[in-house]
Amino acid sequence: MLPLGELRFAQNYPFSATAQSVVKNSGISLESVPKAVLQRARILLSSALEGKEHNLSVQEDSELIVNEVLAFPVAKILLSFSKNSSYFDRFAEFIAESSFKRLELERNEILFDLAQELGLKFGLPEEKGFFAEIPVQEYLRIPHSAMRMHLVNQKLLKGKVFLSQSEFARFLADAVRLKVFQSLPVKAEDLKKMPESFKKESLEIFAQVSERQRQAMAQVLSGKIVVESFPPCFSELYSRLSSGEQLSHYGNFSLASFLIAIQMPRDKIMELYRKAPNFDERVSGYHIDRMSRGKKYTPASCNTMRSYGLCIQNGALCPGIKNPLQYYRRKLFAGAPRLPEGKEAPESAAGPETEVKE
Amino acid sequence: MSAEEFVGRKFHEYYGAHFVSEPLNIERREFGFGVFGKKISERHFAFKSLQDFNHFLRDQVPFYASCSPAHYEFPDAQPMSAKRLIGGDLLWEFDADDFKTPCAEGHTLWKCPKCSLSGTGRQQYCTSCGEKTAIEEWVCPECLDAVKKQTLELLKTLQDDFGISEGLSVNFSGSKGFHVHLRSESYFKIPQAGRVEMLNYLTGHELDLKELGFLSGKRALGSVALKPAKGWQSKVLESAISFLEKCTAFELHSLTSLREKEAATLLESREKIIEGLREGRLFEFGKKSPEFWKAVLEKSAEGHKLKIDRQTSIDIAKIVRVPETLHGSTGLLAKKFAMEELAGFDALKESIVFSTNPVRVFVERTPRFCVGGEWFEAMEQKEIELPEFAAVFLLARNSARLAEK
Repeated sequence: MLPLGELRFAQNYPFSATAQSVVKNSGISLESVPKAVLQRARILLSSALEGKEHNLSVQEDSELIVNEVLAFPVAKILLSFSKNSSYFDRFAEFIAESSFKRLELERNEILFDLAQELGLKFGLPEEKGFFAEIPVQEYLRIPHSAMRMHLVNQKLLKGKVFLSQSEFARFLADAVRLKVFQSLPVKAEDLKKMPESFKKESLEIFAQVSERQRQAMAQVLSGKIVVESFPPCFSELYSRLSSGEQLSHYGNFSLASFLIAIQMPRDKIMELYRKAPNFDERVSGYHIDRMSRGKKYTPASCNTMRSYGLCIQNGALCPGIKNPLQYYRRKLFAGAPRLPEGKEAPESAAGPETEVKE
Repeated sequence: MSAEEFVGRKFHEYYGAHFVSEPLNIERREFGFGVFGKKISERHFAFKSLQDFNHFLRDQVPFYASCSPAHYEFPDAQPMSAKRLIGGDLLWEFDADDFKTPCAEGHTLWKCPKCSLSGTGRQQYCTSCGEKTAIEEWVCPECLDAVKKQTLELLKTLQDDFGISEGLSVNFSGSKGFHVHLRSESYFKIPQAGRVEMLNYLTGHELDLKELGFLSGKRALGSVALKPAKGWQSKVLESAISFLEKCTAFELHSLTSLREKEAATLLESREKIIEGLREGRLFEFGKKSPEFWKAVLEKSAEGHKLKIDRQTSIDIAKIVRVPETLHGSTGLLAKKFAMEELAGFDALKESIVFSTNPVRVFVERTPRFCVGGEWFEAMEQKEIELPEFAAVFLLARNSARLAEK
């Protein structure tokens, strides 16, 4: 058994090599996972998928800590049964955020240890005032969602990104998110080793979650098209097109795919596009039909919208939102999304009307 | 003989006499080709070697040849996912159309498809019948100079900020801009999100002055000292200092909410303001200080934002002009040249490959235009004898037809 300090490290950072060696040395096989571990795995999973706070209990008993460490790979196996990449994403995000909270409080050596365990390339800058320097290619390999971590807002010189301690902790958390996400789903042969009863139970959990989502979506889509609940990006595109402005190719494409996804009738979509200065009945009709009936186009994610410069205020108006559809659904279904303090929900660019009128 | 036939023959002669030694790693790239008037009519082609590619150019004589920055295991496979992406070059494209230089008003033509009225400038709707007009963009040395300046700034940023010293190559697009390619092992596998991050850095997209350390703190007057400043911090500071060193009270008044008199009073402390800026302090002079500095710093950032074509830079699967091939809309060569030659490169002269032999054409309509180092006056419905390179230039863009003998 590892010393308590290392066990705690493994508990805090269950994706680390130290944690992996704890799992390896525990002697527990997938066929005989103790109930206590399964229980912890279930809690971990439900916290991740439902966005709850997951507080690690401070254990003095090594065995209990080992159970916590083991819960992580078991949760990953359970999650893999879902075959749902948005669950994988949520789980990875959850683990990364939990890690970040701890990393911010850690001693310097722990941060460096973890960076090494994650195989990250970094150096210690000679210049005072910086904590670490990262080769820019390494920095670009890892997706960063926080505004301050975007390369444009970073200190870049001669191919190195210079980070403060807190930024380095965030960089590690971003690397954790990528590592956990890329490790899902687990290998098919590991899934086969799980007891059948447990697989069944897991599938039931996910079936319940997805059924709840499906019902919510159906309820949203069965209603009318509520323009004022559009996310700021599509509200803007909708408004510009309505006033006869010519949108970029990608603006047209993403707006059409969004409108199709929220089940706006074809004639309403055509009516809207008719206002475009370069409107061509035949071409627009062909594209809309192809997008709605033929090959299915998933509406653009926030990341994609950002890539094409169509995101409004860099997402500051829609915190926690990853997909514009998610915003629309939330706003229709559960009221306005959470907004940062002092900010108000954007006014609908489409004016006071809340429905698409005849 | 039709314009298409004539230009095709000229292209055939050119490819018969010249070997195109681009692109590198040809066997991993997807190719696409275009016909007269259409840049890409077919794609999903692949070539095992430059010899094969040159055979194709000589035999098929495409009007446009494009290839992918992406490297694939099976570049000719379909659908796209079957190509199996290995990695890719990075590519940044500048296009004169995105620059809206004042000269464009003089060489942009419009025509009404309904009543046939026409004119010069970016007139979107017909001045007579209100119909949406067709716009025809041309370029001149002045707009290409604006593009060139940004291309030079891009190269400087790639070298200074990203530390890139190898693998860069520059070529004229053959029409309205420049392409910068980065063929480097260390950037070969950068994921899509990383490409976007890099592009955002270059274009200043999502730049946040507060995140950079400016205008933060209790009184919104936080700043960064010039010495440890890096990346956009340095760009913003250097520009702000250079602006404040030279600006007049009127310029300051036009940029900020200060009255001209207030600006003049403020400029009495010019040296102190600049010294503070170097040392990481924003000069305070009352209630208007935060708003003043916001305007100055934002303006300073604006000048460094590169107008790179986003779509081309992000979409690794988008195929772009093969350097050293002919552009079917101009007959100009997508000429590759050494980076240090860029500043003195005259694209509309040095990309000419056709002769000065006289060719008689009937010109439909042109603004005053420049090609081959010569200026030609605006023409409409006019038969004229032009040097071959200028005739090809007009025939390729459908602005003229061969005169009947």
